[in-house]
Amino acid sequence: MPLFYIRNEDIITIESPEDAVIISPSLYWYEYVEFPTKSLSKAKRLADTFLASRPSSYTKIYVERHGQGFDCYAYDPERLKVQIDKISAKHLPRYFLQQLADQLPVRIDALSIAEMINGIAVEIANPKEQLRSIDTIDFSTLPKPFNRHRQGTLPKYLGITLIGVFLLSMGVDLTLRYQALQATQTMVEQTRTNRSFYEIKSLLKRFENRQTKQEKLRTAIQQALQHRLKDHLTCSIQSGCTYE
Amino acid sequence: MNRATLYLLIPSLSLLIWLGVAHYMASQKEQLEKSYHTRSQLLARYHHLQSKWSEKAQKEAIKRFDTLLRLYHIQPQITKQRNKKIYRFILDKEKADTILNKLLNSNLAIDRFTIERQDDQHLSVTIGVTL
Repeated sequence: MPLFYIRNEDIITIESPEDAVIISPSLYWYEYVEFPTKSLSKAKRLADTFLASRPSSYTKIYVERHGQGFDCYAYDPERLKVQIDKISAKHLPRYFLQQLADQLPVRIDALSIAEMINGIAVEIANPKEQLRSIDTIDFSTLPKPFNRHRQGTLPKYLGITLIGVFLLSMGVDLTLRYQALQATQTMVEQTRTNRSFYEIKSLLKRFENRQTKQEKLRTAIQQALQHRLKDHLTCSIQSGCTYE
Repeated sequence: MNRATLYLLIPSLSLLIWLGVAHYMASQKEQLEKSYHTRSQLLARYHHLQSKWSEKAQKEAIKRFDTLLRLYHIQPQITKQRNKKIYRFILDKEKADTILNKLLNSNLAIDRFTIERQDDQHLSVTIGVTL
């Protein structure tokens, strides 16, 4: 059984004929167990302790619920890493597919494969029991870009360029707005004085009061002087002008 | 998450962030501009009135008034009462118009103004100035 599988051009139509890589289930050890618990974390701890039949190097364990029990997967992380590195060197660009039990393979990110690989494939305990072969899968039902018709698919670089332009305009716009905001803030800062805003208001009120009173007094004095000047003219802020 | 979803998700999230931040900045700017206009109007009015009626301006106005009297050879009798300064002096009728006009057009804070006819040629003037 091959460790990885390369699709032929006539089956997958992506950018390159040698760009699909499928991690094989043969890398994994698998067992179905019914633990007396419903907690996944407890089941994982139990699996680690009791499933002694797995090879000693298969240190990574993944557990998922299945019926009344749990599907337990284990793999050798070092061995898997070596295999992935081999694939990386041989096939660029490459795509990784993941396959859970009873599911179709779906594409995953190559960069996150080391994390994603945990529990993505199964090795059947009974060799006679077979999962569906990759070759029997109808790829037209898979998510794009594995659909051979590729209807409505946006070319990769065009999409990235459009998003880039969009983000760039956003950045420029926000920078300009921020600069305008800073300029306004500087203007406001320049209006600050030693006195507080409330102190200025209070002083302004006092000055306005004095201005009004002085204007009234001066108008009254001027009128009094223009019209008649008897023997004695007295003017004050409180009572205005009086003659005696 | 496939590519199409990413292509939709990234611009949608960015657009939401863009609109949110832009709206926040616009409201902040509007608030600051409003504050700037209010402050500058208030400060302009304050500086204008301060130059006329502040204590410093009043001291200068009193000095100018003293100089004016000296120029016209008038020697006033000055009395100080609490926060007031009272000037008493005799004015010739010829000088009266000029001096009274200058006094009324100055920014001297007059508290009390008394004028009394002494004879056909002379007026007795008493001016109370707030200190």
